[in-house]
Amino acid sequence: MDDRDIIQLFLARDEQAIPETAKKYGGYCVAIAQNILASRQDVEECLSDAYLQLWSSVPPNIPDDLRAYLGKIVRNLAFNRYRSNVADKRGGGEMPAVLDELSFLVSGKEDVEQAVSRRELADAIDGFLDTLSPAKRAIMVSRYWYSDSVNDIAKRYKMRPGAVSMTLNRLRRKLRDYLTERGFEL
Amino acid sequence: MNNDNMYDAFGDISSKHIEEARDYRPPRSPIWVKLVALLACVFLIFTARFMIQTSADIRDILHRPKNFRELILGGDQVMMYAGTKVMIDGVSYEYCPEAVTSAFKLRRFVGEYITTNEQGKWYTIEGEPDYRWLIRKGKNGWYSLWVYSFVNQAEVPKLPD
Repeated sequence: MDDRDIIQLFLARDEQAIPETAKKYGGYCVAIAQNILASRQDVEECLSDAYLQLWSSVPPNIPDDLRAYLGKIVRNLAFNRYRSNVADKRGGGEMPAVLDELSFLVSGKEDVEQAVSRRELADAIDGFLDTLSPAKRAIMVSRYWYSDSVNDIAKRYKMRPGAVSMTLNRLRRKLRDYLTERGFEL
Repeated sequence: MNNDNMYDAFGDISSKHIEEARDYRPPRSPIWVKLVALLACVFLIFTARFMIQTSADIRDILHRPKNFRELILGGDQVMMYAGTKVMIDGVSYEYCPEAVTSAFKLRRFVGEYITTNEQGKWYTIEGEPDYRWLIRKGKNGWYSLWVYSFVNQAEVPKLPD
C-alpha cells in the first residue's frame, strides 16, 4: 500500500492503518530497535509503543515521509528504553559501542548541557552532513542514527570493516571541529 | 553535554539524510574499468601461451638434420634453435625465429603472394635473390619459416615430393 493511502487511513481513524504500517515498515522498525535493544521482548514492546504513538500523532501531524517519521519514533522509544535498561544494568545491542564513540565529541560536563539546545545541535549536524559525500553521509547516518554495526555497514556499502571504522573515526574528528568552529560548547 | 545528548541530537537530523542512508547504493565500477581488466587478462593469457610455446620450441630441440632430405622431411622431429645455422652440402640453412599461426601472417615475412596452397615450394623475396624461403606447417598448426642462403651460388636443392 502506498504511504499516502496509509496516512489516509490514519486520518480517517481506520484501525487498519496500524497493520498496514506494520506490514510495510515492520522489518525496518525491527532493524532500528534491534540495534539499540538486545532483548527480543523489548524490541516487540518498543514497536507496539511506536505504532501507538504514530496513531496518536497522526493526525494532527501529517508526515511528509512516513518511513523516516516512524523510524524517528522507534529510535527515540528504543533509546529511552535502553537508558532505562542501563539504569537497571540490562543494556545491550550496538549501543554501548555507538555511545562510546560519541563520547569523543562531548566533554561529559553537565554544566554546559543546558547551553546547547538539541534542535540547534541537530541543525548543525545536518549542516555538517550536507558537506559530506553521499557515501560518507550514509556511513555516518547508518552508525549514529540507525546504530548499525560496523560489519553491517561494511556489508551494505561493500567496504572492509576496517575502512568503515577509519572513515567513522575521521568523520567524528571532522564533526567535532565543525561544531567547535560554530561555537558549540560540547 | 554527554554522549546521550549527542545521540538524541542525531535523532533529530533531517529525514532526507535518514532516507538517503537506507537508499544509498555504492556506485558500480565504470564499464571501462571492467573492460580494461578483461583485456589485460586476455593479453596475459596470450602472452603466457606464447612464452610457453617458445620455451617448448627451445626445450624440444631434438636433433640437427644431417642431410637436406632429413631437413625437409624431418617434420617436427627436426628443429634447431631460432637463428642457428647448419651447413649441409655447401648450403647454409637457418631457422627463422618467427613461428606464425596463420598463412595470412606469413605475408609479413615472405610477401603478398603466399597462400597455404603454396607449401612445399621455394620462395624468394624481391631484392634478396640469394635467399630461398620454405614454409613448413607443424603438427600444432603453426607455420615455421626456414631461410636458406645459398653459399657461392650453390645449386638450389630440389624439394622432395
